[in-house]
Amino acid sequence: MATMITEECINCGACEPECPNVAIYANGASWENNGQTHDAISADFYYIVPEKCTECVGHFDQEQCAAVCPVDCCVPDPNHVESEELLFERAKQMHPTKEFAALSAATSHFQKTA
Amino acid sequence: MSEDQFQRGIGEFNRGCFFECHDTLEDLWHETRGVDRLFLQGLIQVSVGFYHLLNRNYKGATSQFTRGLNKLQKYRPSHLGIDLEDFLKNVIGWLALAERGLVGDPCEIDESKIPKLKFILTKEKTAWQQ
Repeated sequence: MATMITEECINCGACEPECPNVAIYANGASWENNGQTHDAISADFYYIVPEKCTECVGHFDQEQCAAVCPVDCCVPDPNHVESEELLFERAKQMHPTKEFAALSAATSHFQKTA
Repeated sequence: MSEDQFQRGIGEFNRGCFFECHDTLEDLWHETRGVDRLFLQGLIQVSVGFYHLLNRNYKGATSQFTRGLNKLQKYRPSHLGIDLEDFLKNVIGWLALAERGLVGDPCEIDESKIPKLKFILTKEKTAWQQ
């Protein structure tokens, strides 16, 4: 599932620069994907675009937003449950020039819990 | 990591500057490992709880107070020189107040009654003093 930010967010912005997919935006800020601009998902607190979130699969062993959030408000989004395969494919599509190694515990939290 | 930074965060909390306190202690939390890490996060979460409560974000306040209390309970009666006994009892009262707001029965918030973080005399050494 994608990661989401709850209303516990204090809008400190610690998570935004950590996202390898640029999927995190400030409250009220429009988001972009494939050259298209979309309206903000949240006007009140930072938000994660589900279509751009890979739960850091392909990049890190855990969601980087959650790792740096002292408030623990970056949590799994129950409305966007997705498989590791789908998330890895998305990561590849979003980073076409990057050479991804096979997933391991260092690049997928699914591998850690398997 | 510095004790100055910790003291600054405590001072900000005691002045009611909860966002600033969160900001200061967050920097410290990021670079802290070991036993002090969860303690700092607990303080941050209680601070954020008050920030949310004063902004009438009862859900956020309830959640943050609960998370912070769960962490800080493990450090009673004191840690890094901070007296937790009275402080945590007081925060539990504020959690109840936030929960009332959450169920649509908010009460008046008297900011002057928000507890302060007090240092006690201790021989306990902090990670950065060692």
